[in-house]
Amino acid sequence: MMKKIKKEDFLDYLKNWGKIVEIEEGIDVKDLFLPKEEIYLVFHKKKDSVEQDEFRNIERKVVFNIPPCYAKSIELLDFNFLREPLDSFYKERRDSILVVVKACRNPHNFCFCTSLGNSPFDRKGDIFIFEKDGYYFAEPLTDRAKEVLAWDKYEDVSQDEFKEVELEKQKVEKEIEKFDIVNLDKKLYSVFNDKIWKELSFRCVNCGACTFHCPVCYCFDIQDVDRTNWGYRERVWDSCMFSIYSYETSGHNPRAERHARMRNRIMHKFAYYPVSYKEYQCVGCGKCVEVCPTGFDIREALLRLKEVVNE
Amino acid sequence: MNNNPYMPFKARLVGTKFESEDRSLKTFEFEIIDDEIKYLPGQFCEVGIYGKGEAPFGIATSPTEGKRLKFTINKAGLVTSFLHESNKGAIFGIRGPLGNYYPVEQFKGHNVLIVGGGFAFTTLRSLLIYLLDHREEYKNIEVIYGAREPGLLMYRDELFEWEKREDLNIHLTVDKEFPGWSGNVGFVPQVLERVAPSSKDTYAVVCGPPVMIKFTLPVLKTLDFKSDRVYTSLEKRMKCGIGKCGRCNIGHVYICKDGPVFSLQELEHLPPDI
Repeated sequence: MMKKIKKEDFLDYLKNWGKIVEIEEGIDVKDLFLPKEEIYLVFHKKKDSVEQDEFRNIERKVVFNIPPCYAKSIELLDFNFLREPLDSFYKERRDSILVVVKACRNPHNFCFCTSLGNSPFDRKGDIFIFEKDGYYFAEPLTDRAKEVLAWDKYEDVSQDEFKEVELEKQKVEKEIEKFDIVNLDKKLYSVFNDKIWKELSFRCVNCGACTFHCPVCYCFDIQDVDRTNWGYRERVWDSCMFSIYSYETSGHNPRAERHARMRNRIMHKFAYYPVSYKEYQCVGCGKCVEVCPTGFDIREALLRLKEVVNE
Repeated sequence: MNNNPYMPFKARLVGTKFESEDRSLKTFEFEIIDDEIKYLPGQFCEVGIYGKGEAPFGIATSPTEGKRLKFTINKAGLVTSFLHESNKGAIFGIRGPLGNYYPVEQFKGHNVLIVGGGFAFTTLRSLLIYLLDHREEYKNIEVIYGAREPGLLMYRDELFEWEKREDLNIHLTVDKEFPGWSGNVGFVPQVLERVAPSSKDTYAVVCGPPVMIKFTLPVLKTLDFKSDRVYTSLEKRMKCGIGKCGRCNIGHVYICKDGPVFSLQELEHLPPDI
């Protein structure tokens, strides 16, 4: 059911639901659901006691106009944060943010969503929209989306208009470079000890930009901030590309070497996540390729790995 | 019960005791304020100091000993150094119980062999006391425990009491001769080889420093212990303790959530990433 709604009308409905946040980058989408810094416990130290309070700072928002890949990344974050035991901070944010996805009509050079079985026109998020001449063709996808407005009041898009969306979809999909990594996940285990990881990590400088910009990388650290008589505990983004990430107090570090960290990042995305959730932990947005200061390209790495596992 | 896994229970430090002669190991006894943590041997908690942070420690007490929790902690980093300086009465934040536990139900009706080394004996103490408090449900219980020197053996008073018991075989050992030590001398794997417990109908639980594990496993194999009958407890750097923050993974499993207790059989299917 795709409805034709005037842009201003549609935006008014969204404003009624929550504050509209228009963002373009995956890093900002992730930041909405898993903030870079999230204070969750505030404590006050007394003479013989401590008072602790849960701290929440959550407001209703509409994340507007994001491409389907970033909506897909939220679904992939759900696997980690909504499984038992439930991460209540993430859950409350998830429930308070309506996701409005816009058909992606301008893919960039780094995109490879179609290689992972996704499409720039995937119906993701709560509402999917396609913009046309002052109108949105909008499709509610979840129960809460159905309550955003009285959808029945609006007419369906015509057959011709629907066809136009389909044609545009095919056109955009063709613009995206596609390669085949089917069944790579299971085979990666067989090259765990291969020298390929040293080859792939050779140029890496462990800056962590790929993981921070990745809309699906969720690793975090928990830190305390101590003032004289009070303080707080917060979680902050962390990166598996840092050697201190897994560095133990004893001095032992299971991933002290660069190649071990690169291997963990790639295998977490393309081998471990599929074992746990039957999905790659990657949406093919190509952001990690775009931001890497040394030009590491995950697409090349996957193709190289494909060669090695088939040797 | 707190249903947000990130929020700690407030706990009062009610007792401390040096556990090793070099004063690097100290046992801390906590009382959870107005609440209770229900657990089984092998589980752990995140012990937090408000303003300093949290760190994971195996629970050294057995649930059969009452509501108080004990942790034996080595003075090493920020949190543990502050813990060692803390006085009785101080308030801490404890999250738990976290992780899985030794399969004590599965052990029922079988012999249990406990092999420990150094200060990895904490959750083994929990397990041993749990087994002794349900003594009639288990067959032979054999313990091999070693440390570098006598002063580094943990829970010494209890160890010497256990040595006197008829319903338990305990073999204590130190790495090399030491003045005043009349017990076994030698590394844990060597003593295990000498004692040579039967693998028939027996579950083995092995905990210790990596080098001890490395040399103990081949001995168990010679004694014909099958990999689904050998359990160990692993550790890695942890933060959340509930399988969310990412760092303690081996392959797709998280030590904090899917472990810390694993059978060798389970570990054989995971990549060597510890």
